[in-house]
Amino acid sequence: MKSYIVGIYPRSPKLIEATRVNDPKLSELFKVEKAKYMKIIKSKLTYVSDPMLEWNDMFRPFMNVKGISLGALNRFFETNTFYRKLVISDELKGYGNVIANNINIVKNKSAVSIADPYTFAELNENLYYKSYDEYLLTISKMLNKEAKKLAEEGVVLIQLNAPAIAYNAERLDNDKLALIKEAIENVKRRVSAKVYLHLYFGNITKIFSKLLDIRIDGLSIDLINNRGDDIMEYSMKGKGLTLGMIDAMNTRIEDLKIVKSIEKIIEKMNPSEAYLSTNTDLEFLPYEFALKKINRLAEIAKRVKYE
Amino acid sequence: MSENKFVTQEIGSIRKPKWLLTILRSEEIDAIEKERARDDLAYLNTRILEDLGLDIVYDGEARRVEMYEYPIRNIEGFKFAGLVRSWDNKYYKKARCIDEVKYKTDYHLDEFKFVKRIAKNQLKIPVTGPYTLADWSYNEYYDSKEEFIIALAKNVIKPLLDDLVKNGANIIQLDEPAATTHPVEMNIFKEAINECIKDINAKITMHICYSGNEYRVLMPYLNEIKVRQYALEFANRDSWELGVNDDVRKGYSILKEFKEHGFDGEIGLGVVDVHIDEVEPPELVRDRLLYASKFIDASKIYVNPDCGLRTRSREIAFEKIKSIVKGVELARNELK
Repeated sequence: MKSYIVGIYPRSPKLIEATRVNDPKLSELFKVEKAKYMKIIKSKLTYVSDPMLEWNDMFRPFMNVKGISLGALNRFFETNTFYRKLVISDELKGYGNVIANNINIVKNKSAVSIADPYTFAELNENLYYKSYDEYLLTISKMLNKEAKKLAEEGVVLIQLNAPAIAYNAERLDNDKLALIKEAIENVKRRVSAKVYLHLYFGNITKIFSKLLDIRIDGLSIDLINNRGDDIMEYSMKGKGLTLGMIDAMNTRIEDLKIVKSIEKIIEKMNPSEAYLSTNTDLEFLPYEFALKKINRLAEIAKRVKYE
Repeated sequence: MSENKFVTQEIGSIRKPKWLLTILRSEEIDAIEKERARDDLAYLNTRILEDLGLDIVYDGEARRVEMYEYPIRNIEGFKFAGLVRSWDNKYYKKARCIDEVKYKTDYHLDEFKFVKRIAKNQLKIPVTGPYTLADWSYNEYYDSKEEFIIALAKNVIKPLLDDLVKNGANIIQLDEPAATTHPVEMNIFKEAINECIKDINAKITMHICYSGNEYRVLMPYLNEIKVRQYALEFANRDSWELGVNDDVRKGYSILKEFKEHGFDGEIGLGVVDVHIDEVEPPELVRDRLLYASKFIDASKIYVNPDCGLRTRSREIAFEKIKSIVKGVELARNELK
């Protein structure tokens, strides 16, 4: 079974210490540690990902976009990790290379995560755009330009991380869902890479049929906290499915027995293609455990009978 | 205590001075000398807080590494997993619960006995609560988070509180910064707190901070959780303009809701921000207190920083405390 893990990976203790003391060789160390990770990922998983070690949170490189400045610390959903809110106080300009300039891409082998437009809009602050719709759709256009550039550079799979959709799933009405659909489809427009929407930090059962209607390549689902029993009743309607079944929020290492559950879900939901992944970014684990999870994910993916 | 209106108190930690860190990191200095150095800092912090005029004091957590790591080191059933990001380049050591949690040692007792011996003022000892200890750890042992939290409450925190009370503690502050981060778990939180303070013959206060939702999820539980005081952060959300109206005191407007929910306990009012170096002028502290007293009786308002002051240099921390004491004096005069 194919596999990948995108998003921010944890820094090694050596790198953490170097950032703490502001080591003069810090930028060199970042490169070395990144190369180490990428070598491991390349040998274990189907797609290669940049571990985003320099990224302090999923939005930070966007602080260099014209119209955006860095705001206050905020809790990232219900985790004990904080991010800095971006403040949009002018028309957004000068984007398109933000992500591509901040990651290493392996041509035709790379997978990358970026925030979905709704999560981007919800977690940051708009002081400029007159309406929420205008704000959200502008962000979707910015992310579309980013996605196009990534695809041109050779990224084959772009995962839109959408914790805000899952977290608010119970409260999203049809109008809001329609707007979110439009924004996500904007991001995918004329992007040659596959675009998957990754849903975690909430139960998406109630909105799952609507999510299947979004014209993108696939959905990625946290199946640790979202047990998936109800979702399994749905067919994937020709879409791909990423199963987030390796828990990046807990150090407990998965039993190999989950192979059977994975096969069962794939059989029931009948996706056009399937991947195994983690339920969230690995950054919620310490370095040593992230390595263990990568190994276990690779081991499980190898055992699943699915082509 | 100088007056029964606006009693002043600290919340917990004060930054450790470089001289202590140098001693603690030295391989040439033995354990006895290191313990003496910790004694010196505990003594110094307690005295400084008293001399600055705080009514209720402690030792600035002089002996503790950190509010999570220190207790975890002393509770059976945990093993440290490694460093996890808190934000940017800040990390904390996160532990795995891999076995049944047990109270193996009264891990705050020695420090408490020391401070009790040297302090002139009333003491309030901070203790990290069961919910935060569980929430900040990986649970590999218990079948559910609820079971994990309740085990910590019953088997670890309750015996610790019992031991502290037996040794003379009469005000205990439960630190629960994680309290309101998971709204769906508020019932478990309530149950855990009530379980660990059941039959404890002391005044129990609770400190919660940076919950992200201005304590709204706490409101329905305010009176059900059997603590006498909630010491909370407010100042970081407030403006620096002087005045006692809603427009300028927006950081404190949530107090109206405490009143609407029939809360009749005490509030520990955070009046200085612990995340900025600028020192709030006493007049600003005064106005924050006068505004708060519109909703909570002044005799039930305790005055403190938003959180522990270890985020600031010692100099700035003490300047902020001076401002608190002076601001209280101004507010008391206004209400005379």
